[in-house]
Amino acid sequence: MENVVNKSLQHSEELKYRIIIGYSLFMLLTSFFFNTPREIVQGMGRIIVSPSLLLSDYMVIGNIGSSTANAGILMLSSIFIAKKNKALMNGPLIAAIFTIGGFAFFGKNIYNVISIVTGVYLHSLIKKEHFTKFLLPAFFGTALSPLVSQVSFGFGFALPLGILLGNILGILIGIILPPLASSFVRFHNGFNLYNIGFTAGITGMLFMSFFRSFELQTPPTSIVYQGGNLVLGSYLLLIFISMIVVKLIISGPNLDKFKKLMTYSGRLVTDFVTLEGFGVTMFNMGLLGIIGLIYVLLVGGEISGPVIGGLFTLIGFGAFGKHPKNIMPLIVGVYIASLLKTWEASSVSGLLTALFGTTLAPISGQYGWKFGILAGFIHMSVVTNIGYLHGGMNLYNNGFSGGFVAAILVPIIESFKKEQEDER
Amino acid sequence: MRDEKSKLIKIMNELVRFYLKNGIHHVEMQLDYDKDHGMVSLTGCCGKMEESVLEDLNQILNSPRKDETEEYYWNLIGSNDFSEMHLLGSLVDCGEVFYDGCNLKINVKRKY
Repeated sequence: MENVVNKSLQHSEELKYRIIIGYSLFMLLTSFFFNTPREIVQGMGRIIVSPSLLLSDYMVIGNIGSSTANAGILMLSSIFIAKKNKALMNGPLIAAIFTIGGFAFFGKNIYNVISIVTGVYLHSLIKKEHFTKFLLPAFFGTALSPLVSQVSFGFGFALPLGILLGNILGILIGIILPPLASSFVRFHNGFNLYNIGFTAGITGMLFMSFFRSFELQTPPTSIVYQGGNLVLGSYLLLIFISMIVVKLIISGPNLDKFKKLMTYSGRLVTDFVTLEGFGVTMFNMGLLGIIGLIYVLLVGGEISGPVIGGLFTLIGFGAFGKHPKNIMPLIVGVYIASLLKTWEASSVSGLLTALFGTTLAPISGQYGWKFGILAGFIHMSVVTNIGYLHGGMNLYNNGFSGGFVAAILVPIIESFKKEQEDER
Repeated sequence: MRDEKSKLIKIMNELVRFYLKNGIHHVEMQLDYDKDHGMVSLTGCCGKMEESVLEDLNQILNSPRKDETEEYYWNLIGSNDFSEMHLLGSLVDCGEVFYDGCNLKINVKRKY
């Protein structure tokens, strides 16, 4: 009996792996639709030597083809490492793979992620634990990959020295990240889905403080692609719709499980694949992508590398805590903030805050839509105020901000909730 | 091994939280910290427990270990007012749930 169950589990794992590999291959192969192989290689070269600070759109630095190829390569590499370590293709891993794919459009590349992943691997060796236990910090920890690139190519060191220093720091970051990530998760009690974003923000702040004390500054960077809404929008829509089709093929049109999925708060750790199955999770991911894309187009935004990163992260966490019911209040909160505050909803920062601000989805999932709107409204101000601390070296700036917003809001909400309960 | 003691304490806290949340206010606990595994047992007197709750609990405690999430998230269990039973299930190797209409006993085992 146990053998039959194990075989069935193995079979479903194979299927999940194949489907996620399929999306990664799609990214890699469709790069040739946008550019010639020569242009892709040349673009990839420029991407690799770019300092990659927030916001560095690889579709401008390289080109669209090299960005999608970069995403495909990084996603496939992550899947290879996960498979090699016999990791289960569950919600957290799917979230990590799509997040890496998304940030491969603006900050992560095959050069600057290696040392951080190596550092986490060394941490597992030091702790004498299997690397599988540290896969998530290794994958999400690449949030600090711009630090590796900036030291290697941006601070003006001689190239060999820069590369050496950059990679040493990358390895060091990888070694210290896992215990920090595990500890900082208590700061926001799991209400900030991008926990590494908060951890990387604090770590980036520490390193940036050192850099500044040696008069090493990072320049404000805003390189953003424009003018590709029709082509890129259609491309993304195809990916999102295909996820809904995958659900229909795997588990039919019944949406009972989706209704159940939307009852979860989404607070860490809510693994939709384990709880409700892979098919309905794919449906949720596709639907979130479509909602995100519609929002971007409705407010008159441009689809750029960072926006694609936001959409990919949104769909990735559609397997790990986010669903339409808990993200919508956040997006509305950010939109209201953009009407009242100084940022345009259609600006890059407005769009990114709306998409990545859904890191706080568990707040609306746990306490209701009003608090979700409030969280989004507050988040918009905080996120634009903290980038300086890490000098653009932490790609998950919204996760950094989300950690603070959740840590401030949740105890206050809980305190009044408890008082109301006591009065009853 | 240092973390193992902390993990076992947190597993116990999470189970105590489960008992209290289900209205069981008098709980006996036993913790065994052995060389290669740890065990936590809780017993408490309670009123009627829903069959579905017990079934879900049994399923959660016997779900496969998930190494991928363990190191990253284990600090969340047993630390606040929110249920992390699914996370607890991914940290333990097996569990038993006994209910005789009056007493609820839960045993969980975690290998190091």
